[in-house]
Amino acid sequence: MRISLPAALCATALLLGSNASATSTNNWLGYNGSYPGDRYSTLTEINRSNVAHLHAVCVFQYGELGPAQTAPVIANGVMYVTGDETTYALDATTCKLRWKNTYVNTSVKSGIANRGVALLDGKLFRGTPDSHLIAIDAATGHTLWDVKVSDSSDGSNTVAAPLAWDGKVFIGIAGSEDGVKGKIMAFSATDGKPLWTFDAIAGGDDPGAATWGNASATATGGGGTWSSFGLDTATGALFVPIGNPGPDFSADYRPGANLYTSSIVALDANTGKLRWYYQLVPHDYHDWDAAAPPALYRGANGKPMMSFAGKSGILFTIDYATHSLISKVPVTTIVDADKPFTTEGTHFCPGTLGGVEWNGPAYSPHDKRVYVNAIDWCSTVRLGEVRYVRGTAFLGSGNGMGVKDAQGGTGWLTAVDPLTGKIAWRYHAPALMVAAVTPTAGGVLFTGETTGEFDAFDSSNGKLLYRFNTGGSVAGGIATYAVGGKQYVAAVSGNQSRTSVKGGGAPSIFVFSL
Amino acid sequence: MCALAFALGALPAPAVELTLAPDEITAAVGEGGAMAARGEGYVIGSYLLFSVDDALHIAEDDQTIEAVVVATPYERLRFQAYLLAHEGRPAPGQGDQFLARDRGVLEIVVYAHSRGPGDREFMQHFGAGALASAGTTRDAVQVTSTDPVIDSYYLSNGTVVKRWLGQVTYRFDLRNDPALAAATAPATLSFLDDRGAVRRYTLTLAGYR
Repeated sequence: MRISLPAALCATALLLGSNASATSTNNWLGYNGSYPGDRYSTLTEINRSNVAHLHAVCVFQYGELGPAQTAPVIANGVMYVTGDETTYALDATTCKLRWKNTYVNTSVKSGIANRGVALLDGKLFRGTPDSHLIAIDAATGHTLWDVKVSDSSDGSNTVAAPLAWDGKVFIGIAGSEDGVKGKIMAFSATDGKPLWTFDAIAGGDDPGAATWGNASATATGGGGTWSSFGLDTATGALFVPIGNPGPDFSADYRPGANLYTSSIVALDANTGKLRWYYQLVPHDYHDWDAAAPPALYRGANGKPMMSFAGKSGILFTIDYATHSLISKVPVTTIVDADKPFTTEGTHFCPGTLGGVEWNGPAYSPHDKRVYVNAIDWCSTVRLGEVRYVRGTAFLGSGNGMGVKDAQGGTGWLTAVDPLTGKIAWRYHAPALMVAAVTPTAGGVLFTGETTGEFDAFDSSNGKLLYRFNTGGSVAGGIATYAVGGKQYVAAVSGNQSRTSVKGGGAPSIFVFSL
Repeated sequence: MCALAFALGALPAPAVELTLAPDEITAAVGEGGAMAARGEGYVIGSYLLFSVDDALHIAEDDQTIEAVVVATPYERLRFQAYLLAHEGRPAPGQGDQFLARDRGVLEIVVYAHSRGPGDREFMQHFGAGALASAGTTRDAVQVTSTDPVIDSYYLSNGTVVKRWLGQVTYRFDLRNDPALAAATAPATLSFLDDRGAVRRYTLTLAGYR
C-alpha cells in the first residue's frame, strides 16, 4: 500500500517548529486551526473541572438553508464563516454581524456545501459553488479578485476550504461522483494568478501512471478534494487528501490501484511537484475516499507523525520522515470490505455515508492521543451500467449511491494511542459523528452530533462533562479561541445534507464560554 | 451498447441451439470469463439485432428503444459467466439450474428508456411479442422487465435530462418448434412498445448459436 519515491525526493523530515501550531495563540487560523492541523488548543481557561458551567453566549443564524459544514476561522476577535455563496464576519464574542459578502454564480452551480475560508495577510479566500476561488478583504468584506478554477458544467466545484501560505492559496476541485478528473492548484494570494497545477490522477510519466490499467478511464478518474489540507511550514510540504476514483462502484472499468485516488499526497507547496504519497485504499470501489486533511504532530516518541483517516473507517498513523506505518486502527464497523459487488446488491460497512468524512483526526500532546469521529452506517450497492453523461452522476451503480441500512446510522468518537494503536476509550453515539474534534490543554475535547448536541468530554477517559442541544445537526467545525483573555468555543449547527437525517435545523453558529 | 456488425453469414450452426451440449457449455463459460478477464466489457457481437448509434443521446424522435438482443441459451450462459466472473463469483457449472431453466427457450431482450423523467413504470406498458416465420407464429410465453434505473441522457441541443432505463425480455418456448428454430428464411420479431406501437425486426434464427 505504501509506495515511496526516490530518497532524494522524500528526505523531508518534518520540522514542526514553535510556529507550527497557530492554535497555541488565541486564534483559530484555518480549517484545522493551524497549518499542521493537529487541532490542539493550548487554552486552559475552560477545563475539565469547570466545563460543566459552560453556557451559550450568542447564536448567529445564517437565515439561509443548506449544508452547514463550514469551519470557523477566528483572528483577533473576528470570526469568519461561510454558507454556499455567503461569507460572514462576526464579532467572535457577541455573534454580531460585521459584514456579509454574497457571491453571485456566473456558471453552473455544482457544489452544495462550503467548508470555510483561509486567511492570510488581511485577505480571506474561499471556493464557490461554480468552481471559482475568490479573495475577500477581511476588514470590509469587499471582493478583491475572482478566478475560475474549473468549468463547473462537468460537475466540478470548490467546496473545500482553501489553505493560504507564503503568498499562495491552495485549493482543489471536487466532483468524483460526476467523473471529474481531480486537480490541486495554487494561486497567487495577491491577484489570483495561477501558479501551478497537480493532477490528482496519475498519468504520463507520473509515478503511479501504470496503476490505471485502462488508460481511457483516467479521463473520468475522479480524485476530487472536498475538505481542506495540511501543511508543514518547515519543509513546504502540502498534504492533500484525494477522493475516490470514478466510476465509484464499477471498478472493473478502471483496473489497477488507480493512483492517486483515496490517498494522501505530499506536494511541494512551491512547485506542486509530488514528493510522496500514501494510498489508503488501492482500487477503491466502495466510495471510500480520503476526504479529511491529516493531522501533523510530533509524537510522544519525538518523531514527526501524521494521522489520517477516510471513509474506509480506518485511522492510519505513519512516521512522517520514513513514511512507514506505525498503527492502523478501525474506528467504526467494517464488514465485507473485500466482498465483490454484484448486480443483485452487496451489503458492506462502512457504507457510502460512513467512516470518517470531512472532519479528520486531532492530536493532543497533553493526552498523547489521537481523537477521531466516524459514522457507523452500512449500505447496499447494486452494480450497474457505466455511462458517462457530462455533469451528472458517474457511478456504475444500479441504485445510485446505494441504499443505507433502514435502521439508520450511529457514530463513534474514538481516542487512540497512535504509537501502539490501542484504543484508550470510545463513545458510541445514537447520532452520526461527523463534526470536528477539538482537544485542549484543559483536558477537554469538544465535538458535536447530528442530533444537535454540542458535547464536551474529558479527553482522558471519555466521560461526558457538558452537553447543549443546539436544535440542529452539528456537522461542521468546532473552534476554540480567546478574546480579551477569555476562552470561547464556536460550534456550527444546522447542517442540512445527507448527514442530517436525524438533525437538520437552521444553519447557525453557537458560541460558548464560562 | 456496442454497435457491432450482425455477422450472420459467418455463423456455422444450422439451427438456433436451444439445448447446449457439454462442450458448448464449456465454450460459453470460457468466452464469458475471458471477456471479464480482459476488462473491456461484454461484447454482444452477432447477437445484437438492433442498436442506436449513440445510447447516451436521445434523438429528435425520442427513440426509446436503444437495442434488441437475441439471447439464445448460449448467449445467456456466456453473459451469465461474464457477469459472475466480473462479480468475482464462481462460473456456472454443467449442472447449473440456470441451464435447466432455460433449455429450449429463446429470449429477446429489449433495452429501452422512458420518454420522460416521471414515467418510472414505462416498461410495464410494453405489450405482447411474437415470432413469425414461414406461416408459423409463436407468441411470447412471458414478458418480464427489470427494476428501472434512473440515469442521464443528452438531448440534441446538449441539454441533460433524466430518464428511467431498463430491459424488457420476451421469452419464446421453442421446444416444440424445431422447424422455427431451424428456419433459414427470415423471421419477424414483433412486439408492442410502451405506446402500443408495433416494433418489427427481421432475424434468421438458424444463424444463431
